[in-house]
Amino acid sequence: MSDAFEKALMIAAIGLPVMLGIIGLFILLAKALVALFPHQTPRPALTIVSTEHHQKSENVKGYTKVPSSG
Amino acid sequence: MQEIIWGLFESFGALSWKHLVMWFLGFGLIYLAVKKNYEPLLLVPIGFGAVLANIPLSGAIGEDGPLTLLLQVGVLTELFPILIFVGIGAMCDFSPLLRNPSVMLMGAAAQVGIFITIIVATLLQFPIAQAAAIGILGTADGPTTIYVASLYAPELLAPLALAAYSYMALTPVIMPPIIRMLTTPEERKIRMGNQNDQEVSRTARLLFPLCVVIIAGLIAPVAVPLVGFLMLGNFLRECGVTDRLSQSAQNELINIVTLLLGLTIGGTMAAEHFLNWISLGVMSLGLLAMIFATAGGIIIAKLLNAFRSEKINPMIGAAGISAFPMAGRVVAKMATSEDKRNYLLMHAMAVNISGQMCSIVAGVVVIAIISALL
Repeated sequence: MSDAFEKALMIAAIGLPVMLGIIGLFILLAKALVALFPHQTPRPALTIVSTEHHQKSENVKGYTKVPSSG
Repeated sequence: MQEIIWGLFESFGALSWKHLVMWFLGFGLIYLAVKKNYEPLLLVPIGFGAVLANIPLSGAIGEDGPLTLLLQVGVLTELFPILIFVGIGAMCDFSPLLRNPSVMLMGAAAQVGIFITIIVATLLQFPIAQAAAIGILGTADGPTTIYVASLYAPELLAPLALAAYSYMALTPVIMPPIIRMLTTPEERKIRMGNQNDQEVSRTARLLFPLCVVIIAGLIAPVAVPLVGFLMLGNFLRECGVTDRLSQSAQNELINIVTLLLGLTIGGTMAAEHFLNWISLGVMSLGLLAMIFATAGGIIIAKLLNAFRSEKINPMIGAAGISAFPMAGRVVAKMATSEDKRNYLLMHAMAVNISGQMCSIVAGVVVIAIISALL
């Protein structure tokens, strides 16, 4: 067996498990990040609501911006 | 008078069959790019560079030639491949990978070709440094191949780069027969449900590249540029406040560097250095690496199916090689050719992006081990 061949076997023997280990870590990292920081649909801060019926009673012109109830 | 006229035609006298072969090769690459649309952004500059370098007494190469200067400044310093990684990072959306991280297993399996090819290369009497650089062809990742080659085998840069990019370009030709050989028609018709398209939070997308840099950097500090610049590009994309930098990385930066890199690689293909048995060996081993890589992804996908109630189409494992996005598209096209309503594009692309990531991890690991061995 040549020296280069022995080294190549060593690269495979060490490299494959190390590579799989790093990728395994990345898989765990990805899972942890997604679990720790779930996506939250942003609530619209303001919703435009027609206030036509208010206009009559309260004599308010146009539309009023009111916070969304979620 | 006669001497002056003779001097004007000196290059004709220096013309040999080797130059003609290299012109043929250069024009062949340009033909593949222009006519077949195979990786045109790379193959046109490489092909043109090869022609420029193989005009006898060419001023483009030699001690003060512009292509030699580019080689010294951009490739031997590893600058060009690293700058390309910034652009690739800015183009990669890791959301599918974060949503379904197990696809990284298929990307990892596709890297097995690297290690097999390194062993085979040493059996063919390549020294270990050259064998490692040849093995990296199994990533089907041009910049990683060039990065490792410039570190450990700069003398093989031309055949390695040519093998990496031409095999990437030939993905639609190389992959389908391997996929057909390793899968049954029933397996190729497996439909996969809609990918969980739940959004990934911005915080997760921001933290992922930062954490990857720290983890990979601590394990293999020598390869920090490789991972670091890729993740820098991705962070520019995701952070939301550097749109101009992200756009520049995805367009101007990567285009300019690709042009210069392609020309430089073409410039290294001078007949006297390129036309030899070693180049032929490198090209053959590159093909072998790609075959093993494709097979590795498919086999692990089939293995995963043994443990899953919801089956995956094993063809998507083939997209674990890094040839992004070509490999993903080839798989998706094969799926629709088997069953017109089988849409695998999103699944194949997720595996393909994981392949990009895993190829860099594999490169990092090989660099770290070779640095320790040499």
